[in-house]
Amino acid sequence: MKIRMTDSRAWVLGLSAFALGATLLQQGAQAADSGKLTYFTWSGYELPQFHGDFEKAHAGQVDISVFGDDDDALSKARAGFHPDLAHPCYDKLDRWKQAGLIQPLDPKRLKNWDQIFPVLQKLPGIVDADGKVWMVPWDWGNTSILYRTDLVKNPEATWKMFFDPASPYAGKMATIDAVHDTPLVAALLAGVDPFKKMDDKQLEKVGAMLRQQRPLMSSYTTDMTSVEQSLASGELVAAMAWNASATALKKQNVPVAFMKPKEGMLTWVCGMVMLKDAKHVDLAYDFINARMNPESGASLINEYGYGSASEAAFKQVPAAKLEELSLPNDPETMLRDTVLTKPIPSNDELAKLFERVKAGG
Amino acid sequence: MSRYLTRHWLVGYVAAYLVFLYLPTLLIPVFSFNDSIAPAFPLKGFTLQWYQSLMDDPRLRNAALNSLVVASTAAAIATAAGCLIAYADLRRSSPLARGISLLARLPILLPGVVLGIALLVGVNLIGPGPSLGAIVVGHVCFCLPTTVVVMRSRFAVFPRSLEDAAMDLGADEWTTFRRVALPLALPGLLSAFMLAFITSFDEFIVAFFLVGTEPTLPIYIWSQLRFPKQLPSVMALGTVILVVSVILAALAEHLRRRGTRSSANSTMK
Amino acid sequence: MSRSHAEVPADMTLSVTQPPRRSRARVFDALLNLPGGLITCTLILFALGLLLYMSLRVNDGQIIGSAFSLDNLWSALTDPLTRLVLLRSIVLSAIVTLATVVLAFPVAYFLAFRAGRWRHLLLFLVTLPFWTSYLLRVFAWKIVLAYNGVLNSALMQLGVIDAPLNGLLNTPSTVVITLAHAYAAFAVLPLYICLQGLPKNLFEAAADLGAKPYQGFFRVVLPLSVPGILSAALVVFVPTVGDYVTPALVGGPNSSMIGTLIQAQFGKANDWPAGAALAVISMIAIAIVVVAARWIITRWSTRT
Repeated sequence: MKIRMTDSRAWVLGLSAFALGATLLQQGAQAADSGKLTYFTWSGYELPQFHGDFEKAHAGQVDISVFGDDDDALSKARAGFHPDLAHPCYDKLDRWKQAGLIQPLDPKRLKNWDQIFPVLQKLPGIVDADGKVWMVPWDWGNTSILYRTDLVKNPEATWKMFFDPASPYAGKMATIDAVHDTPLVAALLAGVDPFKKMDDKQLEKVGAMLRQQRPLMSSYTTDMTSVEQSLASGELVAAMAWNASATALKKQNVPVAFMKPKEGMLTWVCGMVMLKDAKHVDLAYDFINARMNPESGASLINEYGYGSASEAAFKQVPAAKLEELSLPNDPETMLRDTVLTKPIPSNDELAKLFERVKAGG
Repeated sequence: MSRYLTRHWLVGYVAAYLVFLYLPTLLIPVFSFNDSIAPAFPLKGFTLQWYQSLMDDPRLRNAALNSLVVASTAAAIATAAGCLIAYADLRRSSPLARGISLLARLPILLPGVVLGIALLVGVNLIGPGPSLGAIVVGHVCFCLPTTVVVMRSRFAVFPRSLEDAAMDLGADEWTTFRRVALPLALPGLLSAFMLAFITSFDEFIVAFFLVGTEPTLPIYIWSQLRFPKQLPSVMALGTVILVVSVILAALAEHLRRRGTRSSANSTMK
Repeated sequence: MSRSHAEVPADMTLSVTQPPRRSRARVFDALLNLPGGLITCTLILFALGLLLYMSLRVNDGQIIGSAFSLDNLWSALTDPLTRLVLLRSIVLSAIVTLATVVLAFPVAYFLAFRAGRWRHLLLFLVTLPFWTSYLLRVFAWKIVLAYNGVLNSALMQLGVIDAPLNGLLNTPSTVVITLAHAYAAFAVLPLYICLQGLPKNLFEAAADLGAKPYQGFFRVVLPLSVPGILSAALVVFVPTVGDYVTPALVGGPNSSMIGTLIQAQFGKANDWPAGAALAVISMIAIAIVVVAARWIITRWSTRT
């Protein structure tokens, strides 16, 4: 008994000593490298091919922290996480500004600023009156209804498909669990402008529309992995998804189509911001410039199927590939028919309303 | 006869329970060899490409290693602290001990997001900031309720008479603790460690707030859900973890058997 | 130290050794309480304090908000949504806890009393599935319960159904099954170590006193295993009440739990004081449920 006890205790003690030592060693290693740039971005965007030139000039000088949701990212930044650069989306830009977390950038230090599509440069809030840049757009994409062409015969091209009380597809549709997607569409269909502050009556209208939608939805989700699989298996016949999912499923020979609703697809834009107390400003500019290279943008298009904010990047991708990705190479024209996800003034109220409706209240 | 039937029934039940536990779990290795991005039946052919991509991409591996280190450390500290707190509460009851025991069990009621934010504010005030060390601290808080509850129930089952007898025979508190209470509590310690390890290994809400630039495994997986391409590689990693656990446990069992055999041999001499 | 005790005659130990013994005991107690006290008094009290503080502030985008107000607590308390979701969470978790503990008890019993030399192997087998990441196991359940998943395929092969069942995923039942699976070890282990600590000759003693085997179980073993049952129930119930990940992945809209609501306040709605207030209310509610359940179960077990 004594020896068995010693064996097990020795194991526990040994393991914990090893663990403690390893942790401390790692901590020591990290502390010694505090001259590194910290970049806080979406999971999947930390690949070194997106900042190739930075790697050549300053090898290994960047530490990347990832998030899966930019609401969580804002919470973490507000709670005291201080990266140098972050990568939120355009509709959340006001929140980051209001929380006092970011500082504007000097456009003279941004090497490829002119290669960005003008329509994106001119978005309200991106550049302020003094000409200083608050966010450097980097990527964009479209959100729409992805549906099975063999299971949904010739649907009318409208978002109303997700809100039709008499829909034959009730329980076989899914929508995205994000304020700038589902409630935004509900607002559009309810005749409320989501990009202006909403009063209580307008919120009620949006709420009514959302409640009308609820029985039709099998889930509200951000798990695109499962959504794609459910569409492939036929468990879902239609889902709100991003254009990359459309491409992925078509590649797997699943008969799907990415709807062009008459109210317009949703277009999202995301980009880089610099935090107010950034410690490595020079490295930050180098990093942004590296990501603004055409090669980096082309890599994004080829790898994930999302649009790059850089016009020069599009020129590097052959037209056939763009056709395959069903990615328009002119966001200016595209944005005439789509709804750009701008900052939503009543975002917080909509969020609470959305949670209430989802929970059944 | 009825005792035979009872025994038979119980064995069958345990077997069925194991099937319930393993049915989903065994799907993970199955689909890690499947030649398709979507883990769905029918199977599409055997491939090692997901293991290959696992070897090529260090991010997933590093995340798993980080989780391992964090979980072992946090579980060890939480188990040790939990044992001491439970012992102080049940055997050496003072208002202080009881208060600490109660406080230690409260984090289980806190939502992860609250604990995460509070601790992030805390570690920023003190200085080190988000890092794996901060996650260890957060997970110690998070796992402490489990270890305290488990150790309390273990100490509650054993009567004090054994320890009182030891004290009557002249042992001081430290010796009693070390040589009477601890050995009796050992299965509880191991169980508490295991549960704390599992809790920490799977936890990613508190970890998200406290993580610096080295993600832990569940943080990595959760953030990758938007990218369906990664799922089979994650399943390959899960299989690797399973296999490594089996090897480690078999090794531990082998050493344990050798330990008891050598003690048996030595006593026989 | 023990040597000096042995040398002093028994009737003199009281007067000669009491002062040093008491101060040694005090040192021991102090050291015993030190790690726990350190962790709890610094980190846990700080977290609780911050939570309470935040819940009393007005939201203005800053961490700590501005001005004190009871509005958040009051609206969280009186909002019918809170009651709806809290009730749903508690009921769902209670079902999960009941299912998990009841299903785990025979296994723990078998491990403690009947397993013999297979005990270690079985313990290992029971805990092995939990070394894979929890998220992977949830995905595995999705594979089992999916439209073209294992269960549907099997049922169709057996001819039980003609078309795949669509209602297996994204329902509260899915959440119950997934959580019961995910927390199985958390029920088996505490039950096992409690049962294993009971004296082995309980059954013999009961039989000697004339009890039949099932009476021996229900009237001797079961009441004595109550601390184990309570601790198993606690470590299953409380975490599942606050869980928002499982409902988000497999639950569908009807499984929205209180954790989902709180998380949304902190994240999507950017209203930390409201989230903190909701967390305080739910903490108190859960604590009441736990204390009440413990009281009821302990009273029931001492009565039998």
